[in-house]
Amino acid sequence: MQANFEANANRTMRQALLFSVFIIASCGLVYELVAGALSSYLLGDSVTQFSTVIGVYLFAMGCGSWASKYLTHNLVKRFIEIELMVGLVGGFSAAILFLVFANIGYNAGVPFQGILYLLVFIIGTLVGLEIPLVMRILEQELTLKDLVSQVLTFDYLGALAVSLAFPILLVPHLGLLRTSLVFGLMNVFVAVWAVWVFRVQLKQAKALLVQCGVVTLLLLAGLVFANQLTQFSEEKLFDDHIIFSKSTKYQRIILTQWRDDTRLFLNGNLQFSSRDEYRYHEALIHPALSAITSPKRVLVLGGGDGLAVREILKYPSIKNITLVDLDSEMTAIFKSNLRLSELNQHAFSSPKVNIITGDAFLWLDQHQDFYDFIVVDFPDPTNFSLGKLYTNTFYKLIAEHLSQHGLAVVQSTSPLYARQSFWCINNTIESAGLIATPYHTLVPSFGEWGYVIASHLPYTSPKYIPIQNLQFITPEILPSLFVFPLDMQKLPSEINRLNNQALVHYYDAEWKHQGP
Amino acid sequence: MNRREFLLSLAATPFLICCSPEKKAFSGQLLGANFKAGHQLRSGNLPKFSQTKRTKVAIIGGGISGLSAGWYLQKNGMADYTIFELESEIGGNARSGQNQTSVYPWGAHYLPIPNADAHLLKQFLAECGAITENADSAKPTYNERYLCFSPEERLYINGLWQDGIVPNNGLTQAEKLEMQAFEREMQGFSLAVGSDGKPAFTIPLADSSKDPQFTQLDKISMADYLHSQGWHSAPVHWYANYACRDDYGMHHTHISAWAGIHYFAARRGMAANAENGQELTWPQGNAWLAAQLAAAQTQNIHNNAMAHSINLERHQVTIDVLNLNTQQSTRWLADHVIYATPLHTLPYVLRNQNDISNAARTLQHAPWLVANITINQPELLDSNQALAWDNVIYDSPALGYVVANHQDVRRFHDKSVLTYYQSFGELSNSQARKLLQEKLWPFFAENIVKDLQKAHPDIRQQIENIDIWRWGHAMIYPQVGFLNNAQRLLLNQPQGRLHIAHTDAAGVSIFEEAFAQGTQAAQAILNIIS
Ligand SMILES: Cc1cc2nc3c(=O)[nH]c(=O)nc-3n(C[C@H](O)[C@H](O)[C@H](O)COP(=O)(O)OP(=O)(O)OC[C@H]3O[C@@H](n4cnc5c(N)ncnc54)[C@H](O)[C@@H]3O)c2cc1C
Repeated sequence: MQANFEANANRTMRQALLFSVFIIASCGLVYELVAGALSSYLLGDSVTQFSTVIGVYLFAMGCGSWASKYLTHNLVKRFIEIELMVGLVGGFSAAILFLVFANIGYNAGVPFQGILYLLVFIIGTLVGLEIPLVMRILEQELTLKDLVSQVLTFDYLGALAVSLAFPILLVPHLGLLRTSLVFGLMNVFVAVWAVWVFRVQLKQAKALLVQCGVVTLLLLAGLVFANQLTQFSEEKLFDDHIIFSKSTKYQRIILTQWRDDTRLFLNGNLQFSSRDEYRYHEALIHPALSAITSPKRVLVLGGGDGLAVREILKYPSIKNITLVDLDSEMTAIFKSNLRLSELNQHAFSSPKVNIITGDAFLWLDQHQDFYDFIVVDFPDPTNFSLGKLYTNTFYKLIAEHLSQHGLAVVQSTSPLYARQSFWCINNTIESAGLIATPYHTLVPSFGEWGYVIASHLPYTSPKYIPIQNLQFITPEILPSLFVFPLDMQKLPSEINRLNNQALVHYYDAEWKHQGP
Repeated sequence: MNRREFLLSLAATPFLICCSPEKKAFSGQLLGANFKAGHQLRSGNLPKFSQTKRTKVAIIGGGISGLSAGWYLQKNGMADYTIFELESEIGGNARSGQNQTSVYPWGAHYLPIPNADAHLLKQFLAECGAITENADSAKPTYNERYLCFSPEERLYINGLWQDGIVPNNGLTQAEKLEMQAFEREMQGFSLAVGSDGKPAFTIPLADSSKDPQFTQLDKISMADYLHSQGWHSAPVHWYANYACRDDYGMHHTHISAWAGIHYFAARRGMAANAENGQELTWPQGNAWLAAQLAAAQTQNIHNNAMAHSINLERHQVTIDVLNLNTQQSTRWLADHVIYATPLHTLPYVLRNQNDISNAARTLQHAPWLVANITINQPELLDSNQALAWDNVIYDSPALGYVVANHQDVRRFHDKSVLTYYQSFGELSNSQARKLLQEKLWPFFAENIVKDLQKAHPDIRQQIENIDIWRWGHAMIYPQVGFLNNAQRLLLNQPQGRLHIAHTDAAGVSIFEEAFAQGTQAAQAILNIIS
């Protein structure tokens, strides 16, 4: 079935085929390097990533060359098809890995690695098929010794060229995504050229050319959209642009900025989005504070972002605000950072505000003063150390520091997504001898959110709010906040105690949500 | 100073390990009860008394038993008594220590919620604020600062931490069924009542039913009892053995089955605000309770005061007490004496009651080792289950560790102190005591780190200091046949003016027994006096 060629044509063709070995080898190595580089970029630990990728790749090549002995017919056609497949899979390998990773994210290393190795294995097997096929096509022209040495020479030359070019030229200028696409096109080029050379003996040369065309178009399209693709997946990965990140003794603080939206994450949990934090903080402060006649002394526990303090400072009668937060780095950046202190309207620079760095529970234990208004704004009870701050023992301390006519307000997670948890907080406050008045509102970036007002005397929502320029809370909507629709209505629950941490168990069962 | 003392004093000076460079250095000390005084007592090399004083009741020993006796006398309007304590601090096995990170126990560290009928104990707990409401009721309200914070216990087994210490993770179905059967059986014993109408198992143990269907369990060991029930699986044996090692310091092959079951079946305490049988605990352990007992009687307590000869006379008792600081002895004349110290010392102290001394000689004490380990970054110990109060490692010869500052309300701790407990069930008592006397700090410290590394491979990097306390004669343990042992029963009888009040006489060493021993002796004296 091998065709007879003119001697002359034979020589050029042989040279050309050997050149194609060079290209094939280059492409093969590029895909291997792309996979290794990408996985170390995304997963870290480059030594492991590279060595596992190379291991899988070499193994797959072995499988491929072993499998090549089962290809006995239409060798040229098979070769062309394989080239197209390598071009397509290899060319898009970086894009596939990026997209998969962006969608699975950091939390799922194992599925991502599964897809990575599968891809490496497919490419490795196909590349492993190529060289033996080329050798068998050339078999007639050369003795085995010459054949092997020549093919291998070009194979290794290709590898050398790429291994030099990859870090120096390709990655810096093209990026991983485009590099793999470009080399995909080179595989297609070899395929097209092979169709042309063997056009006489190939029965379905036309059909093969059409296939080449389709793959070329796909790869070109990939090149055109490469930018958008990178951006899309990186956005998915990092969501927003990180403008500040710091690991303090207590937590990892991350601030992101996307257009006009600033977001604060503590240990990966969203604390606020500047787009709708006014809803959260107005609802936290004003229903209670506007109901107190002439409030003077305020205590804020948590709330190191100063946004609650910003709302409190709107009341001129207030003489002093004591804020107790665990993390001095947190209060420091919200005092000094331009963008952030703008967000809290320089609340921490007010002479009325006294910032104390300390543990809220211990601080209450060690101090005696009374307050007209107490804000309890801690992260959700995601672990036992936070769960302590939602116990009856803690609320008894709040009661001891709350003046007779004073009000306290407690951020109480979502009554919709964590209904049992919300009512557990409510019931625990009641068990500490306080009157609990629960309410809720919608904060789009969190969802439906809940608060509880705690007091010695019954709370009545104010008919009048003494301050202007609020964006959300008005006397008219106030009563509606206290209405709980059927799906959020009260549930019985255990009392959250230091010796049972019932709330953390409820919360754990209900969600691992991102919230304040 | 002989060679051994020299070695011991050497051992008591601070060490610094700086072995191979990859091993992080940490500091520590080897500590123990006052060896010198003990040696002096045994050698009989004691100065003759140079003055005479009088007290109505002399209480020897300022541990829980002695302090409870004094507390009870005081409470009942009897102020003329004196407590003599050999050490510079009170507490005995309920002593504590302190460093910059936390206070911590050197021995006893918890008290389970008492049974409903432990009226006097509940009264004491109400007095010191541990019970806040309804002390008289079956379900009092306890101070939640003192109820063990959640999570209470976890067990490292088959490569993971599990909640609670009843083995579960990685057990086969058959093993799980056996565990359940064991727990059901213990539950049954806990509810059982004997033919005499008394609970089968209760505290103090002397109040338990004498019904032979239960007391005959004293004739076999806890291990044999399990086998007799057809329970042969490793986890059940581990669990029962752990209980014996933890409460009695001895393997379940040596412990009376009655006592082994007592551990599981004698506690039925309820609370309005806690699960049944939950523990009360404090950063300094039961030293907190000791301090509460002592609070109203500090005037009556003499520290560094070793009683060394007691003579029972017809109309009085004489007690010679050595002031360990001045090395001067005082002869105290008393109407009654309460002997509230470990009974193996009795033969050296009691001059004229051979039968009692002989009875005391038969008692067997288990040695213990306690280490307080200061670590940084305690959150690294969290793993798949958050750090609990009590953390036990299944494959360990030791008993695990308790986090001393677990009851601290703060969210974060830069450092923590882990109190590590080890009993030596696998050695004979004398072998273990020899080990405690001869080995130096690096030996113990290294063993402790290796043991903890089973569950915390990187813990060495976190350790800053390990202080180690050796208890040569830590506590009595209830051997097979202890319940009706004539010698033990003799020690519980009043001997004229001598009243023994110590957990050694009770047969098991727990706070409640010490409290009962002390208060009962005091009551007996009050009865005689009035
Ligand atoms: C490591 C360890 C852990 C324990 N953990 C617990 C626990 O968690 N919960 C629990 O309930 N129990 C625990 N126990 C049991 C504990 O022994 C009892 O709870 C209780 O503290 C015993 O008190 P006691 O007064 O009977 O004896 P001791 O504590 O032995 O008191 C005797 C006192 O007498 C003093 N003394 C000795 N000789 C003389 C002398 N000649 N003159 C004057 N004074 C003398 C001693 O210094 C000592 O202070 C533990 C014991 C140990 C060793």
